[in-house]
Amino acid sequence: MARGSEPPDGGWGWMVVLSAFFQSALVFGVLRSFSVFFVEFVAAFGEPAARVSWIASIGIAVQQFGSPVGSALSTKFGPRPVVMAGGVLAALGMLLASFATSLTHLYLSIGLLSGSGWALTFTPTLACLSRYFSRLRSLAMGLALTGVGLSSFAFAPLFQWLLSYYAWRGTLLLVSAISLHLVACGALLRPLSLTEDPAAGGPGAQLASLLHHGPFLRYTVALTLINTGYFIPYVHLVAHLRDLGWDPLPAAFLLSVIAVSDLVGRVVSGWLGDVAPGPVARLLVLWTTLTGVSLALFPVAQAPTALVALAVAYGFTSGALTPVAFSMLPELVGTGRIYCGLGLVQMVESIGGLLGAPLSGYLRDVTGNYTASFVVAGVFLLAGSGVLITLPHFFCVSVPQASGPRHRGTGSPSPPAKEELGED
Amino acid sequence: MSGSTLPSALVISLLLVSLLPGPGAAQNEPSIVTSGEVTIGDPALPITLQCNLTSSSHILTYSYWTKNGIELTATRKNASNMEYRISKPRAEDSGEYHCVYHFHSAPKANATIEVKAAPAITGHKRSENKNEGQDAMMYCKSVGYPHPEWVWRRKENGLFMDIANNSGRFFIINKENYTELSIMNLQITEDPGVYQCNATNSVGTHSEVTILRVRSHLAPLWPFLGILAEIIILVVIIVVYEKRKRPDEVPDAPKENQLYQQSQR
Repeated sequence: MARGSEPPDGGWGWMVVLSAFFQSALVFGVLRSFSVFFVEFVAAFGEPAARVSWIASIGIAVQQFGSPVGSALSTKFGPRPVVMAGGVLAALGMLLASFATSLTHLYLSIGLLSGSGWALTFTPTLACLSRYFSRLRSLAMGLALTGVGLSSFAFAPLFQWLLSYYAWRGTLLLVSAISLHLVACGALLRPLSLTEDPAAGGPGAQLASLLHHGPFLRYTVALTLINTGYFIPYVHLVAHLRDLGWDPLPAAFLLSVIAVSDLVGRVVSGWLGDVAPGPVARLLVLWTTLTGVSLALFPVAQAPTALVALAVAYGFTSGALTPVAFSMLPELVGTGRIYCGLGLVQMVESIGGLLGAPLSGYLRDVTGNYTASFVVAGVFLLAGSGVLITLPHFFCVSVPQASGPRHRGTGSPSPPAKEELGED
Repeated sequence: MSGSTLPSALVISLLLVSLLPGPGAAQNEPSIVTSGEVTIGDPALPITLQCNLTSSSHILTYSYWTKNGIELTATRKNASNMEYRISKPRAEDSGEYHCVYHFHSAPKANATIEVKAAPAITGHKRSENKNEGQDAMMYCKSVGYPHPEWVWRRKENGLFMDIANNSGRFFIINKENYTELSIMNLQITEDPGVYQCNATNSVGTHSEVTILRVRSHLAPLWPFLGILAEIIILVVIIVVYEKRKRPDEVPDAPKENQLYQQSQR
């Protein structure tokens, strides 16, 4: 393998896709299925539901806010050791949780320890993935992120069965072993040295240069706005349907429909992102606008067929915007700074995620139904796409490039950093 | 004729008349005729309970039915002939029924009709899963009158045998329509199995079964170690494969690559 090469767009890259697939399954699939443990913890510790749900909240918060740490470490040491260490931490947290005697114990072991482990795995892996691909980047992202949806299907019934057979302590022990597969996934992340790595510098320098990068900052703001509205349907759709008079079972089925169309959306958008000409940002604006519109239309739809159609549309478009959102970043900041960039974005956009659901709940309490919260969510998404339009080269026909074969990301080693700073 | 014999005969006959019981005394106790004890059979045929107030010296104000001491709604009438019909009797319709008659300025009167049925067990646990050392609790609830006698049994070699409390860890609480079997400090070798609660009264018997499973603390340990071994093997395979393909490469730390690049230029 030559030193300082271009993204291979295949070859070992597909193994990295596999690794990312399993990692997103193991990190987010476990997090999403954690509600299965909810009833067990409430019964075992005699604590109210609100306090038990803090476990997952702390885990998510640590994972997102810790992303920059994972990124900085990956820039310095490469993704492989960082992800493997993260896997060990995540599994250790679950292992210690199986011996828990109080809720605080669980906050620390699952929330803090496993959360830090997850922070060290997810972001470095996605960043590594975007370094391995340039022409097929969006497709690779889309394929890797399908792991989240599929694992939610598989893990919830699996955990339920484990709980009935082994009780919650035994199940946590086995979830710890399952989480340890993150270490094996990390082992697959063979480091790649790309042309622009030397110019990018160490993690401190990268962070500083990113914080001065106008387009990057605008991109971060846009993603934060998008994140604020993105999760609202997942949290409030079932309640909204119950308000309209739906039974619990059809409402849950509609969520499954959304999950399936989300999956399809991710793959299709990934393929489309690579095939379509011009900056990927335009596709992101397209999907984000469509998602915002479908969200705003939710309160208007009353008939079941209209609601199902809207749900499919929302699922598809929201799934579609995810891989494009990630694959846009290397275009903006270059693959050299991708680790730090992704970490920063994750941390900031998580603020949006944290605010979105409570804001929507507050609106619901104040107005009495979910109309306001859905409309506000749609507005946030549209605002995000508005900010994205201000990004440079948005209206260009094709990506501006210096020389050589056409590919996304920066072309020559002659300092990409200077080129992008000059666009402010 | 002397004047003294006629007055004394009159006095004696008056005395005798006054000693006779008066016309109201025989009517102090109202008498009620009932249709008698009933048993709900299988198949359950419609049942009609009847009370007839045959004699009463007082005015009837109202009358109603009670079951087990509680007045039944919409049965209050002003009639000496009371009827209560149960078209599809079930076990919970059994009990002690009274037809109660209230009078104007006189104490009320009632008669009892017993409706009997075989016990039916309405609540029990299908299975109980607990860890070693924990306590298990199995219960059965029934409806039916008269209240049943409870017996707990355990399946051994295909037959249900009475439970021997050799270890002193078994506790049984029996109430009228409820029984509870508690096992303290579960032992994984002797306690798991099929337990049966049996309710028997003068009419019939009914039983239900609960499966007790005891989880070992060590049970998840074997799958855990198995998965651990699998992961170690995977990591070894991945690393060895890489080293064998490119033995000259030292893959980690991009900084090293940077130094190498600069030395090449």
